[in-house]
Order: sequence, then structure tokens, then C-alpha cells
Amino acid sequence: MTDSTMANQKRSFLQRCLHFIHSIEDGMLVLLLCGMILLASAQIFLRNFFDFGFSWSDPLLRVMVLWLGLLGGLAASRDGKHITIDALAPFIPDSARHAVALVTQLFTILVCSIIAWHGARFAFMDYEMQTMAFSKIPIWYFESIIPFAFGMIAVRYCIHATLSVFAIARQWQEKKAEA
Amino acid sequence: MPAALLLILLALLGAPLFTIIASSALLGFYSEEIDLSVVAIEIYRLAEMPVLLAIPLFTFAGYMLGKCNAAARLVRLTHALLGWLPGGLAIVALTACAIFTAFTGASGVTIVALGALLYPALAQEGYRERFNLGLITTSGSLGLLFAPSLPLILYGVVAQQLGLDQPVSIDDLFLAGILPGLLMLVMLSIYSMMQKRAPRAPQPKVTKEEFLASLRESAWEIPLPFVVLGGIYSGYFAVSEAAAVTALYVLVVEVFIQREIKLKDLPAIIRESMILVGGIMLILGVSLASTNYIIDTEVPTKLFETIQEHVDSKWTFLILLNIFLLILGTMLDIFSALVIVVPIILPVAMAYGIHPVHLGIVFLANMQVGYFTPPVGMNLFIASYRFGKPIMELYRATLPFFFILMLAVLIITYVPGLSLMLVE
Repeated sequence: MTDSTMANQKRSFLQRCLHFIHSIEDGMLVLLLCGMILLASAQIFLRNFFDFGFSWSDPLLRVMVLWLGLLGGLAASRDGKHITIDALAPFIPDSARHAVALVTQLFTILVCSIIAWHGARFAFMDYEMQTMAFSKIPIWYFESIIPFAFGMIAVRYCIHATLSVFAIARQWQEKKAEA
Repeated sequence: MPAALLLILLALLGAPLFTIIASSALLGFYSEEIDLSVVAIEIYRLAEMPVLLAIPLFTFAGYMLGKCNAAARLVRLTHALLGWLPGGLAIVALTACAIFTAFTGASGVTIVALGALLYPALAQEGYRERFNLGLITTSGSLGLLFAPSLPLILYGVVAQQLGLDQPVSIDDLFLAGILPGLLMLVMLSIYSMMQKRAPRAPQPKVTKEEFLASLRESAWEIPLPFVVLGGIYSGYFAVSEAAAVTALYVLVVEVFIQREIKLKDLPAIIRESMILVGGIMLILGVSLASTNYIIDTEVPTKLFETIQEHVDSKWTFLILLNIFLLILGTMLDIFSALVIVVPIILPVAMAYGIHPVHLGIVFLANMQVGYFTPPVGMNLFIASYRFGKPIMELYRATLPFFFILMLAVLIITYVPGLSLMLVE
């Protein structure tokens, strides 16, 4: 087996892994949103026609909003689709584009890691104090989405940043070859 | 101060906005020696606001409507209803766009979905090309003031976090937006009626058959505004309940009854819409933390004292606010502007005696114009891309519309009664 075919296989394994992770993320978004639509509608139906409601459905729906929001944020990180201002973007010369991207990516990794770390501390505190959310479910179950989502966004930006480093290296080599 | 400048630079270079807001909150709390886990605690408050349920549900419903042929049916129906008016088709375009934007949010969906239908139709009726371009681009954000538009809801959410003496209810905002929104619609319609048109073959009148056919075709979508708006305005539904009903209704109708969206395409639509929701929720979550810091350190009070040294009348303040918001609207998208600026501006405005609901309408009306204000209004770029026209041409095409809507914004700003009449 030559090196190149091995590299190909490796890449396809990595791609398969990524594909698998993406499908899990997408699946969770679909499940959460559909669950939310059904639960919220069922609640209205039960309340109006049977004067009945589950005590857990309101708080559960609100937690689903948090989860859906943060997982949506994670999905936005996949293709770098976050809300940005980037008013200077049109004025950045092509040669500096990847370097600028790298700086903003490293900054994103830093901020998300800090939030993930303190989010983990926050969830751990509630774990130690055994705080309950509703229906005797420990609240740290729900809170753990914060370190998870921000941690994963940081990981994702690590991938973006690595790609930027490769792009810079390639640009540099091309320049050297030209000279 | 150097830190603030660095953050602004990073934002302008394209760092995700939520990281900028988060780091300003983190730095603030760090300098006050407050445990940084407070940021996570604030983000978790996203799970404590019932009204936020409306955001993913309405966004999803809006994306679904954008993906099926609802836009075409809406145009046909409005044409059957309003086509007989002088300048009929232009008014049809404005009305259809306003309704569509209210339901789908002003995320450019309107320009993409409705523009493709209306742009050639307007040309066929003999309107000048530049007028058509301007009309479509402007209409992309028209309808922002009508329920159940997302920015109105988000303004209510942000205002409710500030612990104001005068509570801001989202129902009140929905009522307050009606007359100012209609004012914009009417002013643009009058301008459209005054347009000279190239001579054309007499158009066939809308027949009774066509009228009935268009009704039948839209039979499934017609109840939607009535259920949603009727439900909210009558107080039968809370906003989040109306959102749930809308999402379920649209899902069932478009997938199982009209069958225009295949079940297998649903995950992609959900993902696409939840990316937008995620973007909004992230900046909202971290801005809860920064807002908390802003309130703790009494930034608005200090700002008010500084401004008051130079500006003593409410009206001068309002005109400065208009200019500020107009510039802001060209740089920030509406959601970011809401979560960043409202917590600072609203307490100051209230100190000048401005009603918080009125301020919300003024804020959004300004932002609406900002969508197509050169040089960087977002809808200019969407339209430029969609219709393959150079951006300079769009600057020129939207100019008359810009002045008309600026006039409307000024009226909305200086006649508070227009916003508050239905609320009180």
C-alpha cells in the first residue's frame, strides 16, 4: 500500500467520523424541535379541552429552548455561520485573509474555553449540592449543555484554526516558489 | 480602554459577535472580582424565560413558508384582492412582502422568495426597472413592525431583563407596531401610485373565477394570520403558544397536506433554521451576562448624566437617537443591535420621559431603514446578489424609498401617539 492511498483512507476515516458527529448533531436538533412542537401543542390542547396539564412540561420546554439554542450555536460553528460584524472584511488584502481568520479563531477558542470551564464549575457546584430542577431531576443534567456546547465550539474552532495554519503555510510556500 | 479597543477591532475583523460580548462581560466581572461562573449562570437564564419558546418555533415556521410555494400563492391572492387599485401590482408587492416578512423575519427570505416573483411581474406592468429594484429591496424589511416578527419579540425580552418601573409586554409591542407599520405601507403605496408607467396592453381584469381559484389555492394558509394574530390580539394565546400552533400547523399543512416539502428534506430545513436560532440565542445568552454587568455598574445612569449636560430636551435626544440608530443599523444586524444597544439606551430614553414601548417601535423602525442604507445595509447585498445588479445601482434605486421611510421614521418618532394609541 502506498503512502498516498493510506493518507486517503485515513482522511476518509476522519471524514466518516465527522459525518457521524454531524448526523448526531442534526438528529438532536430534529428531535428537540419536533419534541418541542409536539409537547407545546399537546399542552395547549390538554389545557383547553381537558383543563389538564403536566407540571413538568413548562420547565422542560424552557430547558429545550436552551439546549436547542446552544446546539444551534454549535451547528453554526460548523460552517462559521455565526453573527458577525466584519465591517473591515472587504478591506483585508487576500494575502492577510488567513492570518486574520486565524487570530479571530484563536480568540473564539479562548473565550469559549473560558465559558466552558466556568460552565463546568457551575454544573459541578449544583451536582455537589444536589440541586433539583423539577420532577426530582438533578439540575446539573440540564446545565451540562453549557460546558458541552461551548467546549465543542472551541474544539470546532481548533479545527478551523488548524486549517487556517495549513492555508497560511501553503500561501507562504507558493510565495517562496514564486521567488 | 485598550481592551475595549482590541475587542472592537476583533469584532470588525470578523470574530463571532457572541465572543466579543462574552469577553466584555468576562473582563467586567473579572475586574470587579466576581466569580466568572456568573456568566454560565446568566446563560442558563435562557431556560427561565417562557417567551423564548417563540423564537425557535416562529423561525422554523418562517423557514418552512420560505421553502414551499406559499410566496407564490400569497402574491396571487393579494393580486386578486388588491390588483384593481391604481398602482395595484406595486401595492400587491408591498402588502405581500410586509405579511411575509412579519412571519419569516427580515432575514432576506422575503427578497429571495417574493422578489423572484414580483420583480418580473412589475416589469411586465411597465414600471421602471430602477423602481422595481428599489421597491423589492425596500420591501425586504417592511413588516418588521407587525406581529409576530421576531425583532419585536426580542425587544420585549431584552426590555424585560432591565427591571424597569414601566413593564414592557410583548402583547403591547404587537399592538404598538400596527399603526406605524401601516403608515410606512401607506406612504410607500402612495409613492407607487404616483409612478409613471410605460404604456402597455390593457391587463385582463381579475375575474370572479380567478378570485375564487386564488382563494381555494391558499385555503390552507389563509387561516394562519387569523389564528396567530387573532389568538394573540384577543389574548387567547400567549405568544409562545401562538408560535407552537403556527409551527405545528405549518408543519402539518406543508408536509402532509400540500406535500410541497418532503419529509426527507425536513432535517436540512430544521438545521438551517436552528443555525439562525443558535446565533440569536448565543448572543442573547451572553448579553444577559453583559447586561447584568452594565446594570450593576450603572452605565446607563452615568451615560444619562453625561448626555444631559449637553442635551436637555427629549426631542433633541430623539433626533440624535435617530441618527445614531440609522448608522448602527447599517453596521449591526437587528438582533445584535437589540441585545447590545437596548440595555444601554432604554434606561437613558426613559429618563428623558420616553415610553419604553414607543422607544421599541422607534428603534425597530430605524433598524428597518438601516437594512437598506448604504454602504453596508444587508438587504442591498442580498438584492444585488439575487438580481445580479451592481451594488451602486441598488444604492441609487433605493434612494427615494430611503427618503420616504425616513420621513415615516421621523413621524413615528415625534408622534408617540401613533405607537401608543392602541396600547392605552
